[in-house]
Amino acid sequence: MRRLMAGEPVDRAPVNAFASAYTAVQAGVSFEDYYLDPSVALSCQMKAAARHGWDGTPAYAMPGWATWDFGGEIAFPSGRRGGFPYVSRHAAESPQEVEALQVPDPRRAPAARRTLEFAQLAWGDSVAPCITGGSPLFEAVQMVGAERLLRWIRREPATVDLLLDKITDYILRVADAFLDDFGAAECTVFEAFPTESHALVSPAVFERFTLAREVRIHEELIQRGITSWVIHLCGDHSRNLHLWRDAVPLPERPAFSIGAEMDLLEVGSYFGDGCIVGGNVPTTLLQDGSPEEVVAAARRALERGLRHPGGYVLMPACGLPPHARPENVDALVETARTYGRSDH
Amino acid sequence: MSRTQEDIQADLAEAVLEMDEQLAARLAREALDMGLDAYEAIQQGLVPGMERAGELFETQEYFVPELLLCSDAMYAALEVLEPHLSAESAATTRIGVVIGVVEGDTHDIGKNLVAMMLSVAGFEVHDLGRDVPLERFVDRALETDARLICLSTLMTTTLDSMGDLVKLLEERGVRDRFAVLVGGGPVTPAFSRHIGADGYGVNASKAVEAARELCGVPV
Repeated sequence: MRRLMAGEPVDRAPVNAFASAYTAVQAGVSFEDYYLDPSVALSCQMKAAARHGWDGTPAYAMPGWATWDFGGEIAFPSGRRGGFPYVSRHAAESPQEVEALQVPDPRRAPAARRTLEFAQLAWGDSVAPCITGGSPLFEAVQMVGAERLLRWIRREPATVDLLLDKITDYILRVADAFLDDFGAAECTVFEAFPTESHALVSPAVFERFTLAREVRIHEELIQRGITSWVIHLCGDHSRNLHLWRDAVPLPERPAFSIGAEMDLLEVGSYFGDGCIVGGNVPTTLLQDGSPEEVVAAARRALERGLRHPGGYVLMPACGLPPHARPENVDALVETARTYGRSDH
Repeated sequence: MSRTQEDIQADLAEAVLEMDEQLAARLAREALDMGLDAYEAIQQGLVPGMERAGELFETQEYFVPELLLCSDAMYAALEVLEPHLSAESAATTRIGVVIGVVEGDTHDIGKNLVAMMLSVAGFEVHDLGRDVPLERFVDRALETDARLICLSTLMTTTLDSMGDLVKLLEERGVRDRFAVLVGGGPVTPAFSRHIGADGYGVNASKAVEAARELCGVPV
């Protein structure tokens, strides 16, 4: 994976299972213990990586992290199978409360502190630290509630701007803590954009609310020396791609991981040979399909992805479902080994 | 020249489409003042407006924020009109639908949109909210004599609950009484078939189409 990110030749497509809570389920650990104790999370990640032999490195990000740090609350579902943490109290519910929000100190904030702790522990195992870069709009959805935020986009745009600016300030403040602890050369930025997908908001909303914040995050972090970047475009973003290409500063070799709604080769050709593409294997299949179906889907993704000269990482279309079948994950890894060479 | 009832109905539709809550409520009062039947104002004004919004959503000219605000405008007018519905029109028999987000998941935007669009399409919607235990879907569907159960989830962690509901209906011997319609981020047509659901909606508009088809309502 490191070689591909550095633009060096690789013998096959690496495989990144994009796994988080899946590793907890496999280790028999509750979602709560996994997310609240970074040492447990790291142990689960290392065990799963050893079990499956995937190429991706351990990473840790708590759903709803910015909400928790800005004073909201998170909780864990009590169902028999457990689940991801969810926001049980928003950080703000009115324009006045948004105005009153204070940008937290990441070293004292409950979620960012854990993210830094995970990075510190993983660093001991030579794992590159991963900075969560946003998106600010996705964190805003968590902080005030989805329907409220989506209404405010039209009814209270100034409040949305203020909220996004505070979140962007915080993302950069957390990044600074990572850079102080580990140095820019070691850090990777990971950003996910589920809210900006065309299933939810228009390209105009991306341009009006997200773009300026992304330009700022990218400009500032590139200026601080970060070169490794993974951008996860969750869902259909095809009408936003021109803005990503033409307006957002990108490092020399950005990696774009995409959902099943877009085509690997089209996205790759959009950004040129310098970019890496990844993703595209349907997550539902990894949970409920058979290993044969996973092999077929992974082969289709490899067939498209490997034609992109910048390189391809075999990955699920989004985060690996916590209850994915282990034999399906094995099938994904094995397919990269068997069919992942560009001369195959 | 005085405005006709048709003008007011067209303006109501436009107010919904333009997401103008205050105008929609004012037009609803105007409609009543000029003697327009509340049921007609809803059916010939608000419903076409919301249906047009659904069409624009389908073609990606409107997105979720616009659909939410259109529904706000529609509900603002409904609040004015509903108390004036005649006993006869209020008692019109409608096809019952039970809808909710399955247990363990609290993401409900998609479910809310589908519930609203089903209501506009003339279904009697029993919205159970989010994080709903499977037994409640079945109990409520039996209580209300619904024909359709709609399940939504955004999470893969709760996806399998949809299949569990189909099994629960079978265990309780009532599978044949209800059609099951599923939707949400990770749900696919293949998954829908795999769990034995009767229909799938990729978005709110398609979910309404599928509901109409499953219940034999002309599209």
